[in-house]
Formats: sequence, C-alpha cells, structure tokens
Amino acid sequence: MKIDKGKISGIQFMFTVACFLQSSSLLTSFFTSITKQDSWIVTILGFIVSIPSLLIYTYIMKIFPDKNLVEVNDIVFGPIIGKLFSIVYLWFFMTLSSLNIKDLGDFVHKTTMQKTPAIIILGIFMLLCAWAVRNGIEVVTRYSMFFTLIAIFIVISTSFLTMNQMKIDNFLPMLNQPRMIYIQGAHIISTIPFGEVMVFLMIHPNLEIEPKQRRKYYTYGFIIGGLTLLTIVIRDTAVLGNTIKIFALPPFETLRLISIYSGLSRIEVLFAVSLIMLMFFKICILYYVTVMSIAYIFNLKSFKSLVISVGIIIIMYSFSIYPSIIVHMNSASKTAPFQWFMFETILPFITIIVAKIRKLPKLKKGMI
Amino acid sequence: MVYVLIVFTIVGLMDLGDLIKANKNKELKVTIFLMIVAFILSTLYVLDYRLPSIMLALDKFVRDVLGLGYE
Repeated sequence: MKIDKGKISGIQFMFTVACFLQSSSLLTSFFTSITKQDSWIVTILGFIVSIPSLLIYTYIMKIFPDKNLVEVNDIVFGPIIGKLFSIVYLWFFMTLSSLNIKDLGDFVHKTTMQKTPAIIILGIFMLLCAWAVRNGIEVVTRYSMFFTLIAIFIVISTSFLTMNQMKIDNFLPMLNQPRMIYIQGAHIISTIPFGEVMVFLMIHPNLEIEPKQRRKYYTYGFIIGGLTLLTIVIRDTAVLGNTIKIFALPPFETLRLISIYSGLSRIEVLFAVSLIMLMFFKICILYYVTVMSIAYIFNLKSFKSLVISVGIIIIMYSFSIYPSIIVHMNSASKTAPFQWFMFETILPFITIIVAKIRKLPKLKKGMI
Repeated sequence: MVYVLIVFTIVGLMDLGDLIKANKNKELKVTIFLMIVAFILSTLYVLDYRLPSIMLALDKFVRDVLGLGYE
C-alpha cells in the first residue's frame, strides 16, 4: 500500500538521479587529496566499478516493481529479519542526510555567515526541505531538470572561462603513484557519490513508467551525473595541478581564478549558488527517503506528521556525527568506503540471493 | 531552553491536532515517540552536552576489529 501516491515521470527520475550525483561532484576533495593529478583516472575507474552495484539496484527494481526497499525486505527476509534490515537501512539514510546537511552547514557557516550560529543556518534550511518533503515526491523532484541543467551550464561555462588557466602539464606525471592509491580512490568514488544512488530503491514505486524502462532512465541519470563529476575533476586538475590536494574545495578555488578583463570576476559565487541548490535537492531526497522508511517500517498510512520531528533529529545527529571536518575527511577517505560498501552493495546483493533461493516474488494464483 | 519548548509546542500543535481529530492512533504514537527523541536531543544540545559519535565508534570497529581501512 502506497503512503505517498505521487507519481514522477521517467525524464524527471533521470534528472533526479543526475542532480543527486551532481551535488556530490562539488565536494571532490575527499579523493582528490589522495589521488592528486590522477583523480580523473580514478573517477573513470570508480564509475566502472560501481556499474555492478547499479545492475543490482535495477534488478531489484525489475523483480519488485511496485515495492520499495523496506517492503522488499519484509517480503524477502520475513517480517522480523526484514524489519531489522530496514532499520539498518534507516540508520544509513539518516546518517547520509546528517552528513550532507553538516557539509552544507559548515560551508555556509565558514565562508559566508561566520557569525550566524550553525543551528540557525541548518534550521532554516531544513524548514524549507521539510516543506518540500511534506508535499511528497512530486514536489521534491519537481525542479530536478532545472537544477541539473543549471549545474551543467555552470560546469561547461566555467570550463570555458578557465581555459586560459589550464595546462596539460598539470596532468603529469601520470600513473606513477602506488597502486593502492588508485584502488583507494576508485573505492571511495564508487561508494560515496555513485553508490548512494541506492536510495532511489525507496522511490522507484512512484515512477509512472513501465518497469522495463526504469533501468534506462536510471542508467542515463547515472551517466549524466558521472560525466559532470568527470568534467569537474578534469577542469580542476588542469587548472590546479598537483596543488589540488591542498584545497578543501577544489572547484571553489578553480572558480576564484577566473577573471576576465577585470570586469568579470568573483565567479566563485556561482559555486556557492550551485552547491546550495544541488545540496538542497540531495538533502530533500535523503530526508524524504528517511521519513518514508520510518513510515513503512511502522506500517503507517501517512507520513506528514513525522516530517518535522525527523528533521530535528537529523539536525541534532549532524552535530554529533563527527567532531570536525578533518575527522570527517579522514573517515571518508579511509574507513567509510568499507562501511558504505556493506549498505550499498553487500546487503542488496544478499537480498537478491535470498529472493532467488526463495523463488520470490511468488506469482499470484491465475498468473502464468 | 525556552526556544526548544516554543518550537516543540508549535510542532505539536501542527502535527498532533490533525492526528487526534482523525483518530489515527498508530501515527499518533509514532509521531509522539519521534517528538520525544527530538526533544531529548534538542535539550541535550541546548545544555551543551555532545553525544558520543556513532560514526567514530563504527570507524574504530571497522579499523581495529575487522582490520579494514586504508593507511
């Protein structure tokens, strides 16, 4: 039984996936600090490595077209173990929400509003997200195409504007770092931006397209998001070279270097605008998925009354999740890929295996 | 602390009233539970008490117990 009866089209879904991935492309420092001038190589590697995970998600969408992840867990693992799995996923979604809102809050607090308490920044932001989430998936994803196209326009135009700063030498030396660096980089990228698209397993029953077409739109959105990330990494490496490793926000630093005829400068404000716009979208999706997970775990008929309380919990959780940005970056580059790999690949894969063993979904009587 | 009470009073009036009128008992219980959790976390924040980090504990478990993690 659907709690949110809103419907989204295939194109909207495609741009939603793309926008979701694009929001992570602005926070590339967690792998560029490790892979430096070879970041573009590990981005391609990470994209290829995350394809099996994408196939797992599309397979789950195909065999359970009308069921979201929580309902699938109940069907595959039974009511008790299924609920345990769902609670684990709920913690994952809530943690992702808190991490992303913390990143956004830290950026705004440190760059533009140093004297404003972080709680105020996060509170106002979450209020807007809560309004979108309360109105359902249609409102949450309504501006996905607009945001995606604006982000693509900003990336392409800033790439042209920084062409005079780009040097081919900044990509050298190529492939001369220890092998483990490339494995680590590909692992980080395959789990932290690309693997997070598994949250769409909570949304896919709201698609108004045929189950067979869902893989197509999901894949196209994945490719658009991946290409945007690759373009940003190539641009930043070409401009910053080996210094990319020392910056917390490489795209921000790249845009700061743009200055045309001394009249067109301060372009880095575009970075702030696109970051806030895309992060708003991503946090709305994660917030929506968290609320829906709770609603489905408790078999509720409506979700609107949960929204504000869950939003407050996400904000409070974000304050305790990591003590500082440095600890966060350290965890994201060293241990988080292993943790996220479990939620994004291993658990969904176990779901498919158990479903196959139990021959699920069972056909209803009369169906051939 | 006053702000916390004001916020939760507003949230309660917004969310609980409709649930009580519509007689949605299950939704009411879950909403009240979540509001209590949110209230406790907010109160701890206002009193400057920082909860221990679950992610750091998980990092320690992954690194030290499972032996996974990059150098």
